[in-house]
Amino acid sequence: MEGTTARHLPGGWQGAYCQPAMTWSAESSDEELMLHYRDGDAAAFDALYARHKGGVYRYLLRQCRDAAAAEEMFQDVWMNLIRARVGYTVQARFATYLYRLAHNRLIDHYRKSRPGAMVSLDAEDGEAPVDPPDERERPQDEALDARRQAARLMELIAALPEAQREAFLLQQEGGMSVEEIAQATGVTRETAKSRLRYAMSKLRRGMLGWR
Amino acid sequence: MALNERDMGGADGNAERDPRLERLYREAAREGPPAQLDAAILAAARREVGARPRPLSSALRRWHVPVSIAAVVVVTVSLVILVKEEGGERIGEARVPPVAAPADPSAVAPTQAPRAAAAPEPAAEPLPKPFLAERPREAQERAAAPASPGTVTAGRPEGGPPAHMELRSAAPAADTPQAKPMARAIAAKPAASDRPPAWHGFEKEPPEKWLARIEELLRQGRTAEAEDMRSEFKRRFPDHPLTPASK
Repeated sequence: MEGTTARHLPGGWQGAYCQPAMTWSAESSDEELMLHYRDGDAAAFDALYARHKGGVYRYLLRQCRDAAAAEEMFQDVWMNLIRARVGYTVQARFATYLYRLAHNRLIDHYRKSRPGAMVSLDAEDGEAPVDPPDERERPQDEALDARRQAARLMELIAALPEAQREAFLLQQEGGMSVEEIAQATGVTRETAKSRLRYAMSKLRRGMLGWR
Repeated sequence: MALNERDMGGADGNAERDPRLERLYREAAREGPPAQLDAAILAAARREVGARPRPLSSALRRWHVPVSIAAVVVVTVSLVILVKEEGGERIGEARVPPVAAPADPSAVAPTQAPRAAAAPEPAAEPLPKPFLAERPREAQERAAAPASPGTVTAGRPEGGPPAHMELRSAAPAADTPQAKPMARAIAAKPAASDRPPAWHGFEKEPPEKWLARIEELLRQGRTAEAEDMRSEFKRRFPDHPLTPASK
């Protein structure tokens, strides 16, 4: 999948380094590509964008559920990244940095679209009701196509509380670990882990019996 | 495809990961940004790289501070040298004696004109103090004489520059080719005071010879010497009258 970012550093994230290699290739890490872009190589940005555009877009789309707003936020996120290129240094995995920008832009969107509401993704860690499987739509034979399973999964994801959905999307689209999710969303590791557990549990239960 | 709790991780597996659920999600999630949005972002990224200067390379960063310091030092030293040179010139200017050319060439005494033609000394009429001190009589005469055409006064010519400007206005003249012989003449003047008086050799001569000599000196335009000899004559022969030609 396009947006599922593989770990480009051998053995995963190994810490900060500041100087990019002389050249880059398709196997170069996100951080190397960003450093090359920082130093003026526009083609490195093209490669970086190709790796992450789908994941960031779907993360924003599933969170705000509005294609137009998602596109606007998507553009803002990348423009912010472009503007910040000169001061870029490797402090964490690039994906963490990028999704942190997206997370912040999403918070701004919530503030504008729900001016009276408290913007917090922390209040939804508990068990939220998930629609039980619809018995009438339950497939009756083994030949159920993947499309209907996928549609069901999307329904379940959309029904998740925002914080849990965000944790799930960051894991799936950003390829992030629990620690990185916590870093990107500004919560503790335990909170991030808890959100992810709840999300997975609800999705599993919602998909039970779909055979 | 059958999914059950055991397939999807379940209570025994890793609660935060579920490979089958993740695979199902990856197959379902295929949305992406519109192509025109891609193009706009990529174009902005290229513009950003083209429009803004590249960050300093590590080599430039390393030399940035030393080069700046060196530039400051060079500029400072240049300024100091320049100021020193200019200051020295001004001090030199201040030491040049105030020489003011007469505003009107006709103001030069007619008796001095032939000498002026022979040597460019007359331009140094307002003489420096040491020189004036050696010729007190001349100075006294100039000061006492009324300012009239045909005489040179010790004062500033009418319409001339104010006193505080004389030094500066005279200083460039000292650098001119015409001024150089004058400076040499000024330098030579103190040596002339060592010469014997004009009346030397006439100590034992009768008054008539003195008068003849005075007249001759006046004819030659050597007024200072004539005056000198006339004074000595008056001192030695106070009762002897002067001839009209020797007055």
